[in-house]
Order: sequence, then structure tokens, then C-alpha cells
Amino acid sequence: MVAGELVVEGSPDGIKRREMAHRRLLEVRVDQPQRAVDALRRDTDPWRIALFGDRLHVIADDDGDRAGELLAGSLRKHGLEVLEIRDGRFSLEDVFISVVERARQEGRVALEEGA
Amino acid sequence: MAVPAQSSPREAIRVSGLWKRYGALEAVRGITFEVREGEIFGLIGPDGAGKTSTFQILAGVMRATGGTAHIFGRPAREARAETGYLTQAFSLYADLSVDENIRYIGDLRRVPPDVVAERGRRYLAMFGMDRFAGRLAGRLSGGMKQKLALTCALVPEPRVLLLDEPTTGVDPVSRREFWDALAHLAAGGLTIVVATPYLDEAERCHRVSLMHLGEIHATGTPAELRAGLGAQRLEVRCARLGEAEALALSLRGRGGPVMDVQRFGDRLDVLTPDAAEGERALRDAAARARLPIADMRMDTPTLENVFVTTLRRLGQQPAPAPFPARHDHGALSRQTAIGATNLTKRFGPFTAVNNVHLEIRYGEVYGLLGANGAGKTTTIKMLCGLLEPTQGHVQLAGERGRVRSERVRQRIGYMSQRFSLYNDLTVEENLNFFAGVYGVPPDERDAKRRWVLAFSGLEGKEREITGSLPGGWKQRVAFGAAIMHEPTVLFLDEPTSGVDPLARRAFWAMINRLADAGTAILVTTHYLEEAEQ
Repeated sequence: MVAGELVVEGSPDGIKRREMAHRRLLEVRVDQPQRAVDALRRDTDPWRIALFGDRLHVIADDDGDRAGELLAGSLRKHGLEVLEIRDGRFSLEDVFISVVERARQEGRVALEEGA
Repeated sequence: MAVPAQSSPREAIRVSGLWKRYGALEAVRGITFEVREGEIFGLIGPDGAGKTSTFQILAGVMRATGGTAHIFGRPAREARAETGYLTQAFSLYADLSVDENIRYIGDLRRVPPDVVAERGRRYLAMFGMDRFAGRLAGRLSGGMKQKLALTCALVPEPRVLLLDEPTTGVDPVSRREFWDALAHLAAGGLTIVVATPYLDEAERCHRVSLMHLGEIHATGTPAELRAGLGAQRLEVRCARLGEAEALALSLRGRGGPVMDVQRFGDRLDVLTPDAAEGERALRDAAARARLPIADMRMDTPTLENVFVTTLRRLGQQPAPAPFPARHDHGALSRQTAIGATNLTKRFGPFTAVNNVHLEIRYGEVYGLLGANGAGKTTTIKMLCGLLEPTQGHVQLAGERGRVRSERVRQRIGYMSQRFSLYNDLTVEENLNFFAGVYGVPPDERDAKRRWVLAFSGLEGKEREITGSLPGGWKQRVAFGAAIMHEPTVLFLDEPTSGVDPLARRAFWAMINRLADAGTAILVTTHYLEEAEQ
């Protein structure tokens, strides 16, 4: 539910499949995690990047097998050393954040304003 | 290894053989750990594990009974200028503005006013709150209150930040922002110790210690803890999930192919020491029972698996006291229990709920998710007849329109976000009161009351004043009180806020059992890992 409206409805698996159909979650280890977060957030939507301990979670637009390569390239361009990139699984929280973000971009919700 | 970038691996905190006794109660029993500078260190454990006592000693506000706690080489009591401490309770002045709260704390900690102003601006900007500097603290959302409390803790620029369950009641978007800010601060060299009952948050720590009854039982990075479990997780999908669960549980036992079984909304999670063997055993058993399995796949265990398995090895079993069910709602199966068409609520010019349609059938568990202010609580109140819609229709437990009648009321259960219990009554008096209101037949009352006490872990404490119980226990009693009359429709508004993982699991086992018996259940939650259930 966003701003008084039901925006997505279904089983947890169904919602993940539908909402994240053209996206994938990449788990990334680099030599300087926070620098990588800051750099990627300047390049793309900030909500796509989160730091989990020493691993980055990056929600990428699925581009076949190239998503990982593209990400590695962009990290190297920022002078970061990429130690590992692998596919992860979306949590329902990832889905929630991206649904709310989409609503926000469509001007449907000014978050926390109504509080 | 999780060595934070751009910081020396210098030791920030050293706790050694720490004890805390309150009379006969031993809250902390000889714990030892170190935290490096710039590290986010998580303390996880059920209610009563001793986390809060540990924080109070580290913050220098309470003396230890034995052992030592050092911060940058000095005893914690002498290092108070180095530490910032965020407690569970909201500690700000509701009738002061955001700015005034910051100035007040700055004054208390003797930071020069111009420095306070500069730091306040910097942290508010970091947390995306600069636009709200003039707003009264009491009028902020839960997430913003916590960010303001964090700002106030940061203004004296501590080198160590102690956070005791900082995100209770905070919605998912704010929670993620809060943790993004913590990661940013840690990368800048701040050392953070955080207690959390939420294991998805523990994943965001560099290292984690698992605490139980005053002792630390495992410490490591989340990846190390998962690997140390020596187990794999099988996700099993099957149309007849209840039967599959019983089947998997029958294979559980020492040395057997199944270590643990957890039911989610559309799948089972089965923990097994060996994925190949576990899969074979499950498939064989399913074939014998003529139970078709749609899909089975292997994945790594979660921190929740680690937590529950470790506590189980320590003999802490989430006690599955059987619910004394006397009524079966199976006959209602697949009929509509809760229905809404065009449901709308306006408060003056503000539209809280806009044109909502939904249909929930008996036997279904329906999760309603959203950020603070998304309209979830308003929707629930309209659905159960507590609030008149501006527009639209509600159907509830077979009635249209007259959803406030006595007959309907006895068929529904409602656990509100704020406690629905009377704080100045004893636990027993509360249960008697709700048994009366909901019309529990007199001959069933005793069994139901005993079940609630067992479920809440409060056997022998029924004479205690409800208001004196910790929040997690109150939630359990409130949940029990809402289901004693075996409602056919159950509304749960944030039922597990502040409840520890073991109790949360018991809640969800009960929710699934009620749904299997035909109850329709609508749940709201901020914790999305449980929405999967």
C-alpha cells in the first residue's frame, strides 16, 4: 500500500516475479565498500545500492549476463578493485523499496510528509 | 574478512569476563568480545538475553558486578565523553522542535553553540531531514524520530555509538535509510554496537554475536555464522503445504535428514545437514504419502536458521503448546471473509485511503504492507467496523453494512498496534475481561487462559500487573487475548513489533494453524521477511 492505495497484490513469489522481472540482484565484494556505495549512488538511483557488512547489494536492470560485467567495469573506472560479483536473491524488502520508489518517481507519494 | 575500509584495525571496545547480577538474577554471565574501530558489531538474542544490561555498562550508566568493559583503553565509566547511546525508548522532547532538541543536547554535552549548529545541519542533511528542522519532534514519523535521536547522539561526535534496538516501529524505507547512514558513519571510522531482534538487519553488520541468557554463544561475520551451521536450506513448494510440513517434521530428529522446518506462505524451508540426502529423504517420504512436490531447490541458510538452531541446541525450544481449539471453521472454506469495494476515507482535504478493493477468503493469510502513513491502520479500522468509510462498502464475516453488530463482533479478533490490554489490570484480569467481551463459552475459558499464559511464557505470573511487563511479553498476551474465542476473522496490526525471533516464530506458527482451521487473517507488518509467511 502506498499513499492510501493498493499498488501491488499477489503471493510473495508472484510479486517478486512480476515486480522484479527485468531486474537482478548482484552481491558485490570490493576492496573499499563504502567508497563503492558512494560512487555507484552518484551514477545511478541511490535506492538501488545498499551495504550489507562488507558486501554491496546492487539492484541492476537485467541485461543478460552482461549486468555483472557492466557493474565491474564501472567500479574499476572508479579505481575500485572488484573481488567478487555473484547473483543474489531479492528479498521482499528489495521489492518493497523499488515499488515505493517507482510511486515516488511518479509523484504519487511524498514520503514522510504526511506524518 | 570484514575489515572496514579506510580504518586501522585498532581495538575500540574490549569486554572481558563481564558479569551483571540483579539480586538473584544473573543478566550477564561472563561475556567477552572485542570491537574494532569502524566496525558495525551486532548483538542479537531473544528478550532477556542481557543485551540491554551490556549496553548500559558500555555506556557507563551502570556498574558491572564483575569483569571489565574498556573503550579505547579506558574503563567505560570514564569514557562517557566518547560514547553516544540510543535507548529503546523515545528519548526526545516531543514539544521541542527538531532544532531545539539538537541545541538542548548540545548544551548538555557542553558543545559550543556554533559547533552544534554546524554539526546539526550536517547530520540532518545526511539523513535527509534538513527540511524538518522546525517541526515539533512529537509530530515526526517513527523513522524520523529515530533519525533525530541519532543526530542528537552524534552531535557531541562520539567515537563509539551504542544503539539498543533503534528501529522498532520504523517502516522499511526509513529502516534502510537508517542503516545506510550507519554504514556511512562506520566507514568514516565511527564504531557502532547495535542490538536488533531483526535478523535481516544483522546481515548489515560486519560481525555479530549471538547472546542467550547472559552468555555469548557464537561470534562471527554473518557469512561465517551461516557457514558454521553446517547445514543447507531446501525451499520446498507444494500445493498441500500443511501435509508437506507434517511430513518434513516427521523426518526431524537427531542425526536425521531434517534439522528444522519452517512454514512460509507459499513454501516450506527445510534445514538439512546434507542437501542431497535431505532432498532424497523428502522425495521418498512424499512419494510414499502420494504427495506431489512442485519444486525443491537448495539455498544457503539464513541468519534466522542459525539463530533458531543455536537456541534449540541450547535447549530453548519455541514451546509449541497446542492451542485448545474447540471450533472448526472448515465449512466456510473459500467463501469471502473480508471484502472491500471502492473503500475511501478522507479526513478533511487529506485522502488517507483511496478506492481500495480487496477480497480475503476464509483460510487465507493476507499481508498488508506499506510505509508509515500509507493508510494501513485506517483501512483495517474501516474493515472491522471501527471507522465509517467516506465512500465504498465493506463485507465482513458474512455481513454487509452492519459490520458493527454484536454477532459480527464475536466472530472477529482485533489486535491493535498500540496495546489493546489494560495496563493497570493483572494479566489474568485482562484475559478474563477479553474472554467476557468476546463471548468465550464459560466451560472453555480455563483451557484458553492457560494456553495464553503458556504461549506468552507467563505461567505463574498471571497476577502480575500487565503494565509492568516488557513490550515483547505484552504483545504475546495481546495476541493470545485476540484469539481465545477462535475468531473466524482476525485483524493483526503490527503484531510482532519488538517481539524477538523465537516468539515471532511462535506467532507465525499459530497464525498458520488458525488459517489451516479456516480463519481469515489480515496482518500488517514493517518486517518484510515475515510478510513472506
